[in-house]
Amino acid sequence: MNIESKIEKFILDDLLSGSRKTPIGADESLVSGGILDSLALLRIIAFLEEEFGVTVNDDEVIPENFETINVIKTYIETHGK
Amino acid sequence: MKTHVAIVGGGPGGATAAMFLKKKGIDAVIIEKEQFPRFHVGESMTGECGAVVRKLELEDKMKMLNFPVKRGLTVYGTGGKNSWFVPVMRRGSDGELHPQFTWQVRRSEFDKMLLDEAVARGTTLLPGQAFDVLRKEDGAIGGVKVRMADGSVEDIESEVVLDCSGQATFLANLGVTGPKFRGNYDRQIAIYSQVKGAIRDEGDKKDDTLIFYKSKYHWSWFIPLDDEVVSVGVVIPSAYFQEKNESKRDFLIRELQELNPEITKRIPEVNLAEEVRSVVNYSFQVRQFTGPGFICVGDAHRFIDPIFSFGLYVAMKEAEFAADAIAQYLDGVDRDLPNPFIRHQTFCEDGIDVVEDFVDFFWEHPLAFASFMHVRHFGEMIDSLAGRIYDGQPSPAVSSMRKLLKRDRKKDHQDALPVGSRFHPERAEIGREAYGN
Repeated sequence: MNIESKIEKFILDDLLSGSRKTPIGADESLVSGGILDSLALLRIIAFLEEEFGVTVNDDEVIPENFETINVIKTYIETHGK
Repeated sequence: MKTHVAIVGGGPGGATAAMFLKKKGIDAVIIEKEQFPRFHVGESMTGECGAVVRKLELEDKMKMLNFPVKRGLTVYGTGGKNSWFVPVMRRGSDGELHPQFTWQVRRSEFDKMLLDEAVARGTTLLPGQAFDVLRKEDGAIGGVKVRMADGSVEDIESEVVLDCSGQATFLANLGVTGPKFRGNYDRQIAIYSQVKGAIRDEGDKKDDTLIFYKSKYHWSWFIPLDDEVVSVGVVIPSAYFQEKNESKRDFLIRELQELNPEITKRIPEVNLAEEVRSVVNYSFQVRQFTGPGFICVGDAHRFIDPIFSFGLYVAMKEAEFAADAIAQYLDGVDRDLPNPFIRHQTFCEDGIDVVEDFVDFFWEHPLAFASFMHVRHFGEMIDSLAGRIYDGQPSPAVSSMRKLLKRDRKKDHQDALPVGSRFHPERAEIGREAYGN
């Protein structure tokens, strides 16, 4: 499974507990689009650190870094091990 | 009249300073224009504020007066969702966090108890209004002029004048200090009162502070004052209040019903137990708040925002520090410096800077704030909220807050525009005439 699919699966299965039936577009806004609230974003960050081994520094915990699945993918690619 | 220290204002800052001075054998005269008890807002103590009360050996008095025990703070997010609880905790000598409790205080009773206690321990209370300073030949502050109730004027000569006048900012208004600047939250209004019959949480959380959030800069507080009465307040941008075009009373009642479902649940019917009051433009900072012969304490030099209840604590803690600084000064330490209290000033300013960063961080970076609170820096966030803002700062959490706020405190000299104003670059020095008596 590629990075985008893994993130999408985590959001749909774990964060939204299957309540959303349609796929999430790679450029669809997760935060301002109202898909995720800030506590859900915290769980995404924890997921990225565990699943992809990235280290999210304190000063990188801003919504802009996790705005869409594509943005998250870029973040992983530039911050991964 | 002559004394070591002339204290302007008999609130918690003044009374606390007098008691710590007395412990060191230093005499003080407190000048207070009002008859206590009198109303005052700012009823919640941080954990470390409780520690100052304990240091003054007043824990038994607090129990006798039945002040509610505060064990924590719960913040409710927009729509009543995403609530989080922060326990009051102390740091033990082992460096670990341990549960602790502090108090909520009806200020009319608490302030009177403190002032009575200061007098009982040997401080002189002078009922009157300080209206000017006395200057020594070298220009240093050498006391205050006091107008007594009968209209006569009394000169109080002192080694040090301690300005504990609160938001009246006695010495700043006289131009004794450096300039007074607007702070980050000077376009906010707090509208508050007390209600009867609010529904309280159960068990240990019965007397905790609750904060309800609606949107950025729009929130309310819920602070139990006894088994029956709760202090409530709504804080909003001034523009929002004006837009509503309501009386303060109507505004408060409507907001309590609309702001957040979690507060409406607790106050289904608003039974006011006090008049509705307001404070506008409360956020400010005074530069050079110490100098030859004077020190300003607490609100007399800086107030940031009522959220997280730092006001009472900062006044009492700075009073304790000021007593130390005065004792050293009277022993001859730093007497030859242009400002003999410069170390005290820097120390206090560094501490309250942490409060300002913390509050700004809460509003500007809610995601990072939640992450620090729940995941990354739980212990340090607990420390900040308890008031451990003076030693070991900046902590890694506070350093990260500053990075995110793009703020370098090292460059924040006393002659520079304060961060609170820099944050809103259009802000200017508050005209002294506008704040004059």
